[in-house]
Amino acid sequence: MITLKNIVKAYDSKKDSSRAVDGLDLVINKGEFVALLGPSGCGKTTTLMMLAGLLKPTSGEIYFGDRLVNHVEPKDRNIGMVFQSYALYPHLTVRDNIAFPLRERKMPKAQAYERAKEMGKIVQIDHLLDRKPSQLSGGQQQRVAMARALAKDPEILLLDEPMSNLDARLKLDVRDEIRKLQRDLGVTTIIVTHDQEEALAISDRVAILNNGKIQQYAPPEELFSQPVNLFVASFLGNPPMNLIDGVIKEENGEQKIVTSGFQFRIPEARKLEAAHIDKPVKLGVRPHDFMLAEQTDSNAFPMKVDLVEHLGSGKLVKVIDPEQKLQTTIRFLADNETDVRHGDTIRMKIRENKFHVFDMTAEGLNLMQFR
Amino acid sequence: MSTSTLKKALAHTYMTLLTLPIIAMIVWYFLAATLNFTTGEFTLDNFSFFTVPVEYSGIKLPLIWPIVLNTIVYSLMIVAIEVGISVPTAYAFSRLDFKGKGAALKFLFLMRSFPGITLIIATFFILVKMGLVNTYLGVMLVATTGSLPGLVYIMKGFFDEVPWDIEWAAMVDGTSRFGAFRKVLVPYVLSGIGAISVFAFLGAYGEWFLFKLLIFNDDMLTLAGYLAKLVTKENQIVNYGLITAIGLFYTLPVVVFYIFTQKMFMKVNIGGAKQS
Repeated sequence: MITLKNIVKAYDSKKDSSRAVDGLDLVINKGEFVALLGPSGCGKTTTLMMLAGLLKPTSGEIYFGDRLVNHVEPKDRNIGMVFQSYALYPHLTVRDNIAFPLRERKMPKAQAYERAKEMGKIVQIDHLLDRKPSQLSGGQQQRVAMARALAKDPEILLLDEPMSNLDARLKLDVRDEIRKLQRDLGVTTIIVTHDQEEALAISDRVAILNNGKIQQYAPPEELFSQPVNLFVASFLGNPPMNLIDGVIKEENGEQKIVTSGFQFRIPEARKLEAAHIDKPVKLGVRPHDFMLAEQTDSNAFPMKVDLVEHLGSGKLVKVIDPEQKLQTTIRFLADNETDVRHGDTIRMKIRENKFHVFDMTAEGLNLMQFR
Repeated sequence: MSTSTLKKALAHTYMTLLTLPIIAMIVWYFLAATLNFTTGEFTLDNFSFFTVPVEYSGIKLPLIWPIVLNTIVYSLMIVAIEVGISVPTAYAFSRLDFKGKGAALKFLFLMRSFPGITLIIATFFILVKMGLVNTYLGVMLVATTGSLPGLVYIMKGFFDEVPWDIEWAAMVDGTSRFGAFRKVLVPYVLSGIGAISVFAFLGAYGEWFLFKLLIFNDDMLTLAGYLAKLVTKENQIVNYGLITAIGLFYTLPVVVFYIFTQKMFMKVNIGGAKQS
């Protein structure tokens, strides 16, 4: 188990603004696959470097199990790491690259080579052992880097954007292989990535970072369905969540959100606390949580189609209210069978329970109570 | 004739004409060493310095072989000292953060731009005070002080090119900081070390000024100083045949050295790291 307690990393101790990581708490269970996800500059790589011991935290504590490792050198931490650039040693063959960490542990050469061969087999590069890294393709280099990181049977595997240099198709294969390998070996793994699809696909839990702080740390589906704040909600999802300014109103015991383009009645089960009434909010709805409604539906509203984009698997429809009072167009995903064209006026509604309401504070907290 | 062959022919003519003077010089060099100027006949008389000490018009110099040994020992020692100091120094300047780093770098640059000759009188007096005049140690001290700043600068450039990832990877893989330097960074910058070795070697091999100034015993000279002695006696007849013959002998190792090191330079590391 890895525990990070109130970690702060400041590159310039005099300035608060230089804090790359600012009070980070994280617990990672043994054998878990965790992703650190966030935009560039959010502190995710800094966090990984502190786990590796290549950077020392300014304050806070890092525990591997019960052992405080703040001042333990990287070489004594028993970690394997794959770098974005793979960082293979160009003057060594693939075999020597994989055996390098073992030789550093004073393992006899024959045994280290035996193990290198074994690792090569696991990542399917055993036919390339005598080559130099420069003679390998990007995907092969990536595998060598994996093999080298795993050769010493590390307690913790750290992956720093390991797939960002691979092409899209290869990425999918490698992703699955890394996941499978991790599950087979049961090694605690932390991946840093800015690619949300990758993070969500591969990990047990995802920590979303912004400004050096963890915004939310949860399994992928929970991040998606129950974002705690505006940042998480708008960061995740492609196309991104629609965010519409509105005000909460109460009439006849019914709560509704009034925007400049439409009104939306909040279902009974999802009612907000009375304190929020008459306060401005942001209504968040994912593009696939809009749907076409029957004429008779009382909670639906009319929208005018502005643009239809074909995505292959469906259509991305951009709509705006008929009077064009909304500040933004709304994106919604329709299936290919839906027949909508530019200029059509349609009736739309929001799926029950599939909406979010964020307050207008700096944090933009999600006001929905998930029970 | 197509335009491309015409262009080629023009380029070749142009280049040949431009290199002609250089070729002529080299040809003359060989001829002067192997011809008797008065009779115009081929002779190897000028190469008698291999077996007997040089002696003409009042100049008496020792036999050349001990001088050759001096040259080899001196040059190799200079290479070892200069490479041994400049590689770790350059690493420190490239990778470590320490107080006064910026100032030290600026000072290095200043040192580099100072013509060494302006300091030579002061240097001489300091060496006299230290009792290091007419010793190899004195020459080496002055020589290394002069060339180290440049070598450190060149070497720093090579270390700057090494991605941090490589060094970090080594440290995660179980090396100490020094281990990463020795096992990963040094092999990575091997071509750079080769380059500064060549510079150091050529500098030492061609060093005549310091020998002329600081060494008074002729049997302590190196080849360059030996050659210098031959040409700098005033009001004497200059023996071109002898000078070119010794000059040829002096040039040969450099040419051989160049051929070998050039091969090494061609094998410059092709990185195993993807630059992102």
